Amino acid sequence: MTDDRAEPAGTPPDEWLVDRLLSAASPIHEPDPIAAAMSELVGALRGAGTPVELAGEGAAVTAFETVRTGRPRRHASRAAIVGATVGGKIALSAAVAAAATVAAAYAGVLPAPLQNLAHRAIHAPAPPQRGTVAPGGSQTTKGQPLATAGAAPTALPELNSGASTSAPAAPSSALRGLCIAYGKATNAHKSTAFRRLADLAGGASHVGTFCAQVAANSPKSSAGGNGAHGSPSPPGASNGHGKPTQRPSHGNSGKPKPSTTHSPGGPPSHPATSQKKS
Amino acid sequence: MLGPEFEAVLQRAAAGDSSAFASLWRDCQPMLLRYLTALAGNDAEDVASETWLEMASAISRFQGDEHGFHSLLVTIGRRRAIDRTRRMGRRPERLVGDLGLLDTVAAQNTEELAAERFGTEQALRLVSLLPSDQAELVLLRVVVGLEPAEIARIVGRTPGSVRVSVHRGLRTLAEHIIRARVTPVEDSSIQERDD
Repeated sequence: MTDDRAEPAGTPPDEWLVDRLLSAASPIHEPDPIAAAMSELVGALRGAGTPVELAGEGAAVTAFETVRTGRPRRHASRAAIVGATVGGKIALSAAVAAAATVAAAYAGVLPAPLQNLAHRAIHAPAPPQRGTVAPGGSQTTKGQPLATAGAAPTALPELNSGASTSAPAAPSSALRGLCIAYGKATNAHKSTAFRRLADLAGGASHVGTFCAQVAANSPKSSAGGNGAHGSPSPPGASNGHGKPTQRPSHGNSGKPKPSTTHSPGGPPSHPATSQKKS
Repeated sequence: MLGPEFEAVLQRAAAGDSSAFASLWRDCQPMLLRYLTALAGNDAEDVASETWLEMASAISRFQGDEHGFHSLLVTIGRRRAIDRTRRMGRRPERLVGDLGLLDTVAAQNTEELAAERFGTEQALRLVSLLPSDQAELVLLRVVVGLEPAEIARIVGRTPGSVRVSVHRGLRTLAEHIIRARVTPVEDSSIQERDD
């Protein structure tokens, strides 16, 4: 371990120096050049947030709103989805506003014309040759968002194990990638990712919500909120299940214990959250 | 730090007020990103987004002060960064702790380092050259501002070793900065003035 190296002889470590530097509002004058450089370093590391670091505020707030309200701003009705089978791209946009449908697209369970569009638009698998429909398929017509719906537990596994012939290695990665690209782009509204997302979300103004949904419903706990919805996950998988236990209480307030992050074997817990509307 | 405002802002955010959530986000995102860069490299932004999503649903159950909030935030971020690494079955994209590079980097940036106060980005680059464990501790202590005892709990070490490691990490970097400043710049474009 590098940090176990001995200090040079004759210079006992002043372990409180760091505390002094940290408690100072601005870099303090230190006579010792090394301490002075440390002070500078501390000041620079604690510098104000840069515009680049703060660029994602809009997306973060949209995600917060989506998580808190537990539903997307748009609801795809059954009619919209049924209509999409004949309605072409316009209806598709409305239909896939429900993340469940996106899941269905990845699972390859949409009707062939829709699946084709989804295939082209979001790299979902092409329609299966023999028209197999996964058992979870019917769930997708409820038009319920994954974040709240009973459809989620059945739809999500389809992402990985569905009937599709050649699901991508990481089925949702393309869509999430689009969302990530959108989130990162400084000129997001001109980006290719944005245009494709706008098509899928049913309009430019819905992209933020749409991506929040995608993130919230990504499999394998890659996004927050996932663990609270009872999506099946392997016992011991260290995902969102740990968070309710993180709540600090009295005494050592706000000091979560990492040891609580592994849920024991058994069914995932279902902490009551504001998103769980039944 | 939001300071005295924190409690009220937290309450509003917990009640679903998105502008209050935005305040928390603006206050904490830079430090979260800086910290996660040490753990997840180029994936830091994604991990930060996931962290905030989880926080969005956990916030209504949170009880504690501002330090506690920061502590929870980095704990979530840390777990997600580790999960992501496991999921991908590879080592994290850390910016590798390579002290051998430190002098090189420092020498390349002599001019910047010589400036009265160099920038955040450069300081972070230097920290990333520390061994990754040590870089993490430095960031938790300096950037996030957690106490050694809190850090010790998060990373599973003793407060004393956290304290020593942070101090030595900063000191190592400071020595390199000083060395970079006394090393003459070997640059032919610098011309001596005769007058």
